[in-house]
Amino acid sequence: MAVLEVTALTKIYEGKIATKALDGVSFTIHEGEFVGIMGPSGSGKTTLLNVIATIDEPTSGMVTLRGQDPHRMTREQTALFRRRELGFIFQHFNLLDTLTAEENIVLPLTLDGVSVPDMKARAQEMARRLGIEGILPKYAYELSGGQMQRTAIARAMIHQPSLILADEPTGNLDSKASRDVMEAFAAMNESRRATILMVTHDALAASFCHRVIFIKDGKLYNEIYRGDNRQAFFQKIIDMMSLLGGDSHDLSSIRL
Amino acid sequence: MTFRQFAYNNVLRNKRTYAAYFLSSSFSVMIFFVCALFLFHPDLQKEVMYRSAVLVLWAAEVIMYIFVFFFVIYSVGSFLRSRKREFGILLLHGMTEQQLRNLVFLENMLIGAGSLVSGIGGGLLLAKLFLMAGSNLLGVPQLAFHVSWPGLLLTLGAFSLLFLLISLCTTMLLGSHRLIELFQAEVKPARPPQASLALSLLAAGLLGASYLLAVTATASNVLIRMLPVTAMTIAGTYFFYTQLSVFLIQWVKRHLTYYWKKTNLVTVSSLAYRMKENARMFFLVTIISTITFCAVGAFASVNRLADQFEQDYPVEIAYVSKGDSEAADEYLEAIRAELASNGIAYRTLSLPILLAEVASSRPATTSERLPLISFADYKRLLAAAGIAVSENPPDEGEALLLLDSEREKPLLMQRKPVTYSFAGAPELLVHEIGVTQHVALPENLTLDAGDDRGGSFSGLVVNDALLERLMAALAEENGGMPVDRFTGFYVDPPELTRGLAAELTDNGRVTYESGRPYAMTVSGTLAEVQRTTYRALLFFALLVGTVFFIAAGSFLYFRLYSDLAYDRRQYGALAKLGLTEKELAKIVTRQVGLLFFVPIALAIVHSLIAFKAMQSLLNFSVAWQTVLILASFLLVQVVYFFFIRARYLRNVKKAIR
Repeated sequence: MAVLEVTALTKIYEGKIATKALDGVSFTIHEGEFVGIMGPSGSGKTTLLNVIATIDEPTSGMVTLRGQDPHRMTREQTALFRRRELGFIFQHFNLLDTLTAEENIVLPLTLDGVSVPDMKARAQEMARRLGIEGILPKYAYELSGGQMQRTAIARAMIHQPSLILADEPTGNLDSKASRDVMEAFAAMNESRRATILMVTHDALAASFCHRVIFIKDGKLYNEIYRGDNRQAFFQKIIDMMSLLGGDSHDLSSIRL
Repeated sequence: MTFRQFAYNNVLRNKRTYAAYFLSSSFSVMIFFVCALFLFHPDLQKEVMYRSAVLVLWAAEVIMYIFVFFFVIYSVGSFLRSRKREFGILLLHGMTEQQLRNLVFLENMLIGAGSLVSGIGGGLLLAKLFLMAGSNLLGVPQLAFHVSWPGLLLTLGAFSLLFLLISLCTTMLLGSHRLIELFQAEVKPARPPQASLALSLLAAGLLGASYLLAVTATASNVLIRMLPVTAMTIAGTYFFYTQLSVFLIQWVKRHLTYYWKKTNLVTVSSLAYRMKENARMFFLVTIISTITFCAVGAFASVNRLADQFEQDYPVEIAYVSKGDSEAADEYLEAIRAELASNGIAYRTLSLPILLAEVASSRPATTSERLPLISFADYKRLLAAAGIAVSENPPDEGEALLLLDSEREKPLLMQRKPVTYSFAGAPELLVHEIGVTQHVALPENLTLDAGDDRGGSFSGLVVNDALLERLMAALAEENGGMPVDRFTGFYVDPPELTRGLAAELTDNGRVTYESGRPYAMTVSGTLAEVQRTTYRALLFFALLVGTVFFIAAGSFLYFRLYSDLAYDRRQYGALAKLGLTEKELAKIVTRQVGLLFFVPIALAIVHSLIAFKAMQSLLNFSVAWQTVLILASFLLVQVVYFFFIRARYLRNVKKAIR
């Protein structure tokens, strides 16, 4: 069953010179899929994610999530839609400094007025699955990068959204923390059938996906499927990236 | 964590950001409350003589309230702007706008309620102290500790309303709800502001011109110049910060020998980067501080007017009956009886004041009739008051302006001499040659002559022979000119007359224009009224000034701490490049120092110029008051600076290690 359908999505940034960040992008994501989006810098990855995330609005085209188009909703409906259907994970974690890890995790539930014992229980469960039980009472700024990102994953998933959007989740992490985070993603994807759409630069991170979509200059370029062998998939991603970017330096650079 | 706990946590865990705002609000509530305690104090209310003091205190309440209203709006607005990213995260996680409104409302009400409670609590704790200090300052008998319900309710009601209203309006202050903008608010580095040469020159021109106009102001034109100069100074200050300062920084940046010298690179570049945000705050702080300095200075100087009181009221009870009023004797009898029944010894003096009709005057004046007394009578008045006369009598055809108050002297000295002729004797020309050295008759006792612009006076003192001839000429014409009769009661010491003739006067005075058959002054009562009014004004200025000054301090604090996160990162990076702690301390000291002292320095310059202009209106020096007041404000600012600098430095250093 299709969870997300993106149809002929176009985004033009008006300015002295109008730039086409997205140019008729269409694709579909099914329930329980883990999809990566890759492409060179300035290819429109982040714009695509922002439009799907309702952070930005498309110039034309349509996004439907379980048959609903968030861009045709009232503000109130959009808010409720984000709260119940979407989960977000950012490169810079975007945890609230004034809250502890636990409080950050239960934030989406708090907004929805869930009872306190229920929130506690669900936070505990998420923390156990992600291996961050020990840090729940700590404040966001006391955590390491990997811990912060796993807290952010817990926050993005605690309300069992239809779609989880991740923007360079490993962009600010070292390789060990990246691996932890990606394994957490994969585990959540498997055990809870979470549908995940992830924008990344990191070929290793992308190799955890079922499928990677490549875009270039705002257009869909290609997509490759994992199959059974992750190592081979990783190699295919590397090859595709050097084909796209042409610059091997671009492979390992962390986008800031 | 429920929604309400979330709001509560947001405030409590951000206490460092809110500290100054909270303290400043609490302090305002406290001062407002203390002021209300005075207003509703039963001992102060029953004294008629303190009516003017009560009025002044009411004015203080209203001004403080209006000021706090804007202060709170501005502060809340800045807090919200600094939290854009946080609101973006919340909206992205599905917070509805209604919920965001509720959140902000709850947070604001929490701070508001907190400052209301702590302000009133502080007020109650310190009430006794304030009442003691206040009654000393006001010059009234010690007021007993008394907390009046109306005062408490007024404070509670007024500030609950204020915080409620502002909390309700906060979403309007929030501005854009577009997520992409909320998110980019922090990521997008603002470009350092650009200055235009024309506007920079305009700033310099406006400030220069208004300073020049203020310094060269004379008693006769200072009031006309006041408004335009104030407007020019405000506009000039604004452009000084938004344009000229940016221009100067750009100029400094071009001189690499200075710009690239040691830590200057860091200091100057971050100064340039922040000037856009700082400009508006610098402007606000400068204007608020200038108003504070000028108000406190002006009202402190006004108190020195009370020193002149004895010179202005040489006669303790002065009574002038208009024309041939029949009731005159009756009233005089009542005054005599009252003096006698109080066992007060007195001497009296009685003399006529002629009212001459002006036929022509050159240059033309608005006076239609002028009170005239002879030089002999002027000498008798002074002699009765025990003042030695050193002046020469005016020649025939000459007249002295009869000074009505020492206050008017600077204005009258600049008056262009007028030549009069009077109805019935057009051939007798009388030319003004100057002003009497002393006040012989208190003001408001005679038909008012002159005007506010050129100075007012009580009439003319003319040559004895001239007066005779005028009277003779007029007597032939139409049976003489109207005559008022002055009767003075000289009492020693003057304080004995305090509260006398209360039924005949309003708080010791009946002016000639009041429409009663007589005019009258009672110096003992007037002295008391004037003293309490002036002291109330000073008290008022001190209270309101402190509230203003502390609010300005809170703006500075907020500006500094909203940059803390950025500074920590920047100094952290610099430390890795090999910045020593000493150099760090130097940069921070300069940064905080500029923030704290640039606006204050400009405010001091503005105030000095304003005092210089005010000096032209006064015949005593206000230099001592000026220096004292500016120095004490500066001292407070220096203490505040060292306190904040130490805390800030500690905070930044923590981030480096």
